This record gives sequence, structure tokens and C-alpha cells, in this order.
Amino acid sequence: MKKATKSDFIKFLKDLSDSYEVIAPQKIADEGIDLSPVTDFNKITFDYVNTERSFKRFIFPQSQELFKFENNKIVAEKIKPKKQVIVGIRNCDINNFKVLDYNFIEKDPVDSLYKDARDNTIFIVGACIKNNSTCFCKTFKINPLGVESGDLSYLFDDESKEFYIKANTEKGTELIKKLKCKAASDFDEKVKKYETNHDNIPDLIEDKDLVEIFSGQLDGDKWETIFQGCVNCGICTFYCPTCYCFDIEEEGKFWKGRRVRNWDSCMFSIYSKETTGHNPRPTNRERYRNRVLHKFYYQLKHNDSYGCVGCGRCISNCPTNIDIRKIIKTFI
Amino acid sequence: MKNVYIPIEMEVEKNYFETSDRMIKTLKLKFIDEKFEFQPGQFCEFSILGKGEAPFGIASSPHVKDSIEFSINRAGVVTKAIHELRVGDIVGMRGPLGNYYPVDDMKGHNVVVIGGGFAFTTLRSLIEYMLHEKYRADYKDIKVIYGARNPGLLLYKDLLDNWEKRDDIETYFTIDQAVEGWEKLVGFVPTVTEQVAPSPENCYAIVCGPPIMIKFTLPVLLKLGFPKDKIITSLERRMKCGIGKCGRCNLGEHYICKDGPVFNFSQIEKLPNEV
Repeated sequence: MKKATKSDFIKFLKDLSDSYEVIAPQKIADEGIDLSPVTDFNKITFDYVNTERSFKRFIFPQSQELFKFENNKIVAEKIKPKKQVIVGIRNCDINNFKVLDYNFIEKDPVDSLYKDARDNTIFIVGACIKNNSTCFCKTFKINPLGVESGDLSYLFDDESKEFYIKANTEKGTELIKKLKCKAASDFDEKVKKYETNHDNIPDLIEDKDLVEIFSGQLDGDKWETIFQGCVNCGICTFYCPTCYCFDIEEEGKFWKGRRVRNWDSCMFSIYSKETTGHNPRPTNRERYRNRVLHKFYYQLKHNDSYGCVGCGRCISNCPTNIDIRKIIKTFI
Repeated sequence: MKNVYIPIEMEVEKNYFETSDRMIKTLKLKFIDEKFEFQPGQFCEFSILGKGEAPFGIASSPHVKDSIEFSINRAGVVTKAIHELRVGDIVGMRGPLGNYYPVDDMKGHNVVVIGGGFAFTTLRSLIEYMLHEKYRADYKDIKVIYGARNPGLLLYKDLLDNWEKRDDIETYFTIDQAVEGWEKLVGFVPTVTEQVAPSPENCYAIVCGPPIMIKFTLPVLLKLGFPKDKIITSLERRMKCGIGKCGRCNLGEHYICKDGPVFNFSQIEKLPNEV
């Protein structure tokens, strides 16, 4: 455990940029503060509750090449994954690994594109000091401080203006050696000091068993109204740190082209529409139900984890103000 | 580590129209360098570079080792490109994917296979598997009920004739409406099933066909006394990856491409009604 001044910490990140691409929170024009590859280290900011988008797109890009082909032959080439460091991740967001790792790595077969990206990334988690009104991470037993998460984690102490930094993995232990600053003996004290900052975050589920609750409500009246505001724009799925659905598409022609995968959304009507015209989820009702059940029922049945981390992005970005917290409350 | 999205190469050995409306073509594809083995009921992602890939059930028997067959309806971009293939062309293939008919659990049982329209492909694979000299003794009586709108739309006509001549399989072929020259059964598959009335005793029913056929055949089987876990079907969904990653084909918590496509009705009835 170490404590560093902001300039120590930035210097550390700058040194890392020799061998890694550093991705850090920066002010992006009108978009607020978001994770982005760093070109000017003075632009890194730590003054935010959470980044506009989660880090998901750096290990599972919105559009990703599966392979290239030329003259009806697949071009055999090993895509070398980029080494990257992502700094400033919140604990809610990094809990998306429970869903993404299960889908892409733990469940056979291993998706090598995802695994390569994940293995070549160093994750640095920053403890939340403040929270938004839309935060509900505690519902999923996620601690907003999260100093046990990531390869490295840090807590910024407002008072001393110092970063308290801790290594949580082997990768992190190696890395923290490069950080030139003082050791921190008062790490735990500092963490304790900020615990009460998050007393206002709700735990909507407490000890209730969602599998039991939803297994009796796969159909029924409650589903008849909750979807009605939804315009199927899909923004909730694109902002979601855990959503992983993708489409596979062709670019180019057989003489030169590539096959790519692009994020897709179960909220779109064509998502499940078959060539015959038959659509097993024909209306908003079924599509919205599928999203809710995947997050709070199917995923629990898969690997006993929630499909939601309580980051609140789907609430703050929904154009029709649908609030997933209210949906949860409707059913429990 | 292996990139699971890269298909292996196969060569078109034969292709011909299977039905009189010239909408379904059967393709026989030869393995080139890499090979795989499969079980009846499994499917593949058939890939045409520059057009895309789509899932199809394997129609040939697992005993045929150096090639596999598909019967494919022309409907969209990929299937149109497949219909345009010529002998000698190279295509991509990922497979075998998904689970398969419970051929081991079915041992020592009677089996009634009920099929409709062009969903008969993996059923053909299953029947050919059970009829093979190596396995025929594992199964008791085998009955096949197979229907199509008209005689020209029945798949694998030569094979159907062969089965009719054998004494170790009972066949009931039917068409929706009587036409001149047709001397077999006339009537919808559910009705014919009711008439044939297979005994549920120690018997598996394997049902595969259009949703409407399944919808009306299921009550018939239940009435005859078939237990729900011995009524087996193969489901379809729009699929992309075929390996349980892309999320698209879920029915409840199951991914049809990986946990299926073969399910029994006691599994299906516990899921949201989204078939």
C-alpha cells in the first residue's frame, strides 16, 4: 500500500504509457467525463462520480473484426492484442466481469478475442467518494469503495489530497513497484472514513431470492404495463456494462472483406425476427420482459450472479425515463 | 488460442433440387483438411465469405464420415448464395454445434418420429442412424409419420421408398390434400398421428416441424399418454454465433444453439411462452 500525490500518480501513468496504452477519465467536449486513450496526461481528471460509459468497450469493442478474407480464403493472421491500462474504473462497472467472464471465458468454448483483450489489460479501480441519485450498486452487494477490486485500486483522500493505492493481484503487485512514493500505513483508516459517504445508496433486494420471485411471474399482469413507455431505442443495452449481445456481419465482398461482430440489442424488433417473418418476441412486452428476466432471473440461473451492477446508466440515459429500480420493486 | 469464429473449408460435391417447387436444394459437402464427427440432431454454421453465415441442421447420417449433407430452403441472402453454389466450390463450416437427439436414452425403447415439411432434415439423420446395422438392434419398433403439403414437397423421396420396403420400420406418409396418383395417406400430421395412435408404452416421440404442426401434435401425444419428458423436439431461433456467446437465440435461460436445439416438453413448458 502506498500513498501518492496527484503528480506522482500521473507520472506513474505516464511512465506506463511506454509499454501500454493508457485509458483514463478525461473531459470529452459535451459528453461529460469519459474513459478515453490519453494523449495529454494533464487532461486526466478524477473529479467525477462515474464515467459516461463503462470500460466494457475496451475489452469487448462495439465493432470488432473476427477475421479477414481475400479471394474466398480466410487470411490467417494472429491479431496481436493491444496492451492497455484502464484507470478510474468504478467498482460497480468492474463487477460486470461476473457476467462477461462467465459468457466469454468460463462457458465453453473460450472466446479468444475477449480473453486476449482482458488478459492484456490492467484494471485500476478508483473508490467512489460521492455517488449519484441513480446509484444502486448496494442492491447487488457491491461496495462503492471497492478497494479489493481490479489489479490496483486507489482511494483519493480529499483532505490530504493524496491517492491511497493498493495492489490486489500479482499483476498489480508488480506494477505498484514502479510507483515512486511513500508507503501508506493508514490505508484501512482512510477507507473507513469514507464508508458512511454511501449510506444513502439503497439495497432494493436485501436478502430476497429473485429466482424464486421471478419463477412464479414469467407471465402475468405486471408485464402488461411496465414496458409501455419503452420505445425500443436500445440505449439501455448500449450503456449497460454487462450486456454482451452481438450480431455477426459481413463487410466487403468475397474477394476482399472481413467478418465483424457488432453490439446488438435485444430491445430491437429485428433482433429475434426470423427470415420467415416469424418473431418469437413480437412486441415491446416480450422484448422488455426478456431484458428484465435476463438481468434478474436468467443470469442468476446461469452462474448465480446478477445481470446488473447498479451503475444507473440505463436510468439516466433512458429517453422515456424508465427506471429499472421501479421495475425491480414492482416484482419483489 | 483458437479463434472460434473461423470456419473450416469444405468442398461442394453434389447439389440438386430436393423439392418440386425448386426452393429446397440438397448439398453434399466433402471435408478437405479438417474433419469433424457429429450426432443426429446437431447443426452447423454454413458460411459463404462475403455473404455471411447461417445455421442448418445436418441431414446426413453420422456414419457417413467423409461428407455431410444439408437441405436448404432459399429464403435470404446466405441461402440464395448457397443455392448458387456449383460443384467444386469451397464453403466455410463451423460445427458440429448444439446438443443432439437422446440416442443413448432412447436405447431399448420404441421410437415414433413425427415430421412435417422441410423440418425433416435432422429427423432423416436420426432415422438413418437408428436403421444402421450397427445400431438397429438397440432400438425396438420404429415408426415414422411424415407429411408435406403435396407429394412434391416431401424430402428424400428415394429414401422414403427404401424405408417403405424394409420390414424393420413402419412408415406413414401423408399429404394435406388428395392429388391424383397419390396412394398413401391424406390428412394433416396431427390427425394422422391420432389415427396411427402409437402406444406410449416404453416409447419416445420425436417431433419436428412447423410451429403450427407441433402445436396440434402435442395435445394428441399427451392424450395418447406420452409423458412430457419423452416428447422430444428440436427448436429453431435466429442464431448468429452458434456457440452460446452472442445472446440472440435465448428461450428463457437456455441458449438454443448451445443448450439445444433438442429439448423435451417438460423443459419447454417451464419457460416463457416465446417459441
